[in-house]
Amino acid sequence: MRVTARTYYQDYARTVGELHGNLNESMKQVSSGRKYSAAEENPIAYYAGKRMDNQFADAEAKEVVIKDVQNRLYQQEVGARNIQQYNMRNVNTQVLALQQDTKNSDMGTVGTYETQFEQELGNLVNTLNSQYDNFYVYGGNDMETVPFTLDIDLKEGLTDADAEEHIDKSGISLTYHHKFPGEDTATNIRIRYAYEDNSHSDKGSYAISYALVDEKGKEINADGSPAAKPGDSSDAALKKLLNAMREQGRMSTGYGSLRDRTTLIDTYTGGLNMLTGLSSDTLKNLDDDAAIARIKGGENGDSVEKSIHSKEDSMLNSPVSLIAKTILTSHNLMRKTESGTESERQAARSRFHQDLAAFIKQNDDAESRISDTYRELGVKFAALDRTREQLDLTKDTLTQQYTDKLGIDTYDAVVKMYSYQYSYNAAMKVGSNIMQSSLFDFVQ
Amino acid sequence: MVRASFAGFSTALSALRMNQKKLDVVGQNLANMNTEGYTRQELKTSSINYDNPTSFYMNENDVNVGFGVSMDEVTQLRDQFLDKQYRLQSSRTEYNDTVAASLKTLNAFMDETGIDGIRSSLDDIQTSLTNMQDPSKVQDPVYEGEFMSRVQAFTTLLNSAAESINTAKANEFQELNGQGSSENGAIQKINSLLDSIGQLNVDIKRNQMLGNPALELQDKRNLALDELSGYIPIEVETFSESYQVGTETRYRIYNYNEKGQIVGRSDWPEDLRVSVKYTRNDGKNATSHTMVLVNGALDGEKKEADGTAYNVGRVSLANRPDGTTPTEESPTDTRLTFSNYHTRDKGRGSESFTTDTGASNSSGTFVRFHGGSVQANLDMLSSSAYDTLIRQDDKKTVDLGLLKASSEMNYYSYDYYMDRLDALAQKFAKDMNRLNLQGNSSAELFQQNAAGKTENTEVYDAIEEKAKNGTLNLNYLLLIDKTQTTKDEADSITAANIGIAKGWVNGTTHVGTTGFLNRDAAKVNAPGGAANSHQGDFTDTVTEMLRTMISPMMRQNNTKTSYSDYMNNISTVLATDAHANNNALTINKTVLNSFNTSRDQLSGVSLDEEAANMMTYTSSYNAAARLMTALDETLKTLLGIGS
Repeated sequence: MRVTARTYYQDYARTVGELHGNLNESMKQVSSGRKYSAAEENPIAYYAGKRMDNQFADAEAKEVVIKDVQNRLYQQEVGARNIQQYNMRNVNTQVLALQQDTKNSDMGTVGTYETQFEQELGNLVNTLNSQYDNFYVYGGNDMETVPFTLDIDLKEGLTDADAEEHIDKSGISLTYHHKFPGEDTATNIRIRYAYEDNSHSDKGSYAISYALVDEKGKEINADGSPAAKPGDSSDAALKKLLNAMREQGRMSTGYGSLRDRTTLIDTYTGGLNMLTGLSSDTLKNLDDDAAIARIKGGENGDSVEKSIHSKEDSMLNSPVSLIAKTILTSHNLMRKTESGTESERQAARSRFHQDLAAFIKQNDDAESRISDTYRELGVKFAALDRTREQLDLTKDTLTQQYTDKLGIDTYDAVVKMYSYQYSYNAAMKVGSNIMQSSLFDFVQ
Repeated sequence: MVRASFAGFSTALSALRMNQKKLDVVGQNLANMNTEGYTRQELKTSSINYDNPTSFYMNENDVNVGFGVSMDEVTQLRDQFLDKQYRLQSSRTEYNDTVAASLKTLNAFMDETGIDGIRSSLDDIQTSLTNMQDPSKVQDPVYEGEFMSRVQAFTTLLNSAAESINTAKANEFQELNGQGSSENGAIQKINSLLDSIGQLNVDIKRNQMLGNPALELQDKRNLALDELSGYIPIEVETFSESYQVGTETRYRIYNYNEKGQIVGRSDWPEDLRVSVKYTRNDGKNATSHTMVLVNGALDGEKKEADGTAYNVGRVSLANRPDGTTPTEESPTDTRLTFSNYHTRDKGRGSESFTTDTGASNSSGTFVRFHGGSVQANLDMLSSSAYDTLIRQDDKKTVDLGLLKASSEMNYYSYDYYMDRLDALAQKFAKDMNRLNLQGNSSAELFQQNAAGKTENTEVYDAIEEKAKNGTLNLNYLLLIDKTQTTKDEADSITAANIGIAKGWVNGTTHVGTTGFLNRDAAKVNAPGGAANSHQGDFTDTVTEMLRTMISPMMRQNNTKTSYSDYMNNISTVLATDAHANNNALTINKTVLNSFNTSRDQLSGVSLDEEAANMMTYTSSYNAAARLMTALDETLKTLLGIGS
């Protein structure tokens, strides 16, 4: 083989260049920890790596979200527990005490109890307005609209009212304010608990009237115009209430699949759902009429409380209704004892005893309904905890897979780097020794 | 025969001259050791002796001794077969080299190994939607703002990718046609190489007819041929001018007797013919063709009006079949026309062909080169049918054509990547806008139900139509074609023009929170038309958007994939192409280098060899001079006899 000057230098330069390239590449690998510096070096590894990137980012985003959701769920859980353990239990204890004649014969004592009931109801509604991070945990996400307001409107007696003005009868209203999806202004739904019968009889029963009202509490139609007569907006109000109680906050947290949203965790519990024990899913699965009947609860009937199934999940059995009943009946007893006729006094006392007895009967179930809610929230919380652990595991696995596919074996890379360095140095040394030599160097 | 007294002197003199000349050749070789294209030279010598046989009557004591050395010619040491292989290999290597450079420009923004690009911006969008799906955050403007900025990053990256592709296309076009730029393009280069090869053919032939081998000119011509082979595949052959004697064709390189039989070789030099090689495929059969681009020196001194010599062919930009001319602004589907030299009987352009990557014909016909940078440029500029073959609107394409312009094309073109990015931009914008329409129009939906529309898409199409023609005042567009400045429009979104709607930026449009009405199609036509059983949730739009992000939305070949995977797939297709091309390039380069080394081993200058030669010739020279002295001494002895 003839070794010519150009081939010799070119070949040498190429070899040195290649060795230098190898050295540079291995140094890059060692410093970055990456096996490849470009996708074209291993397209499939790149593809797989980027898919893992996507999964990793997804897991990380969900982990962050889960923390927030858990805090919110915890807030709901604590609220529900407060309602059950404090408000309802307290009222229950007090009602038991008040049942005794030693307590209910003195109207001053009855008045004190009544005030306590009012306070407990106020506290309960306060809890319903709990906020977490600018969000009403039982009332939806509109920060400007406080979801629940309470109006205790007490007249002389249960049935004392201007016959023309049905509304002026004693009654306790829980108004739900909610801005529905797609609407600019909040809708106000008044849920008014009152004694239904206008006669002075103790044969009547309590009932709830539903109405859409404006900001001043005047009943309006669905289109915003004033209602011609009381009760006109009842159907529209119930329809709206149903919509509100069907609202959900299903979230993709890694639990369940987005492809079937019913498998996702519903992170929202509406206050009315909690109070009635009617879950959004239950209401979603019923057609509108059946769902509204469930919300209203009870049947028409003439005997007191007969129509109300104590175990039934409905507005009539909600803690608000129950406490309202104790307030109304205590107030009635107080007023009639002080200023009523004997028959009125008798009727009021009879009513009082019936109502307190009904309360005791109904309250146990109502409590267990509320505790169901917080137990369910606790289960969701735990599920999210497990989901978070799983996401952590997913992240660890992905990191491991990523390293396997795209990371370097550090020891291997370092050894390679040194070996390239030696080859490069040796090549340089050899080059510097032989570069100049040819026969000319030896010709005298 | 009696020996002349001074005969030895002329022998020694010829040796002195010859050695001197050989040393000159050594000098020339050493001087040009690093001259590009230089071919090692050698002085051919022969011994001088009687031309005729010795006489029968020759003195019997006499023997035949030559008269010295004759310097025949200086020749080059070159192997035309190695040249042939080198040039073939050079075309292949240049093809891969050019493709590698083009793919590198694409890789700069599509390879997300070291950068966060379009694909990772989709991850960001997914992350912000995951945050936003929380009922406590869905209406918080901060989270929507974050989502908007992530979407904006995505659109900006798409815009800049589209711009980069357009710039790369324009550069690719300039590599072909450098007119108007500071550097010549392949068209200008090829034409000027053809001119200089044609002119060198003339010069070399003229020199050779005068007895000068014109070695340096041949070196120049070889260099030009090597360079030309990088642009297009060429075939180089020697031929001789022919002439007609009666019906018989005779060649000038031969001498003929009176019967027309070849009796020897004339001194007439051969010509060099350069042809371009190409393949024509009519959709069924591929056939190889050649067309002469430089026809030796024949008529090389005749010039046309524009100065083009008769003996060279030409290459120029060709119009597309629809009559348009490729330009830097619109370089997709560029074509070149090659035409042959000016023939004596038919003039210029008697034969020509136009390259055709098959991009804009449906017949499957194409004309292409086996290699060379020109084919690489043409391939990269060929148009892709991605948008028509792989449709995102779920309509099936009957024509299962190729995504590459031709089945012989190895790599996807710029247009393919542009089409795919366009498809991503269009589909993403369409999906997001549609979901936002749904999330903003539940009130409208009640009215649409009464119209008896059963399918969801029908209902939303109708709402969209109303929003577009202004009968319904609905702000729902999130992504628009930002070249439309008068109002937000999303009809003709591409990767280059996709942008965030002005309404979204200004705060008049929001991510919908009206919830998706639960439509029951079966009830639509029932009396009353109440198809909606209940109101949806605030988070419906966001949750559906999130579902869209992880669902297979983009059609790709026979499957569907998510936006992120689709983008990942584009980058991987590019990476795979680059990987394959790099492998081919490495192999072709290695082979080319080995041919180059082989050529150099034969034609290059070896220092050792030249040093050895130098010593040899110096010694020979000294010996010849010593011979003179010896002869002088013998003469002196002779003359001194009897003195």
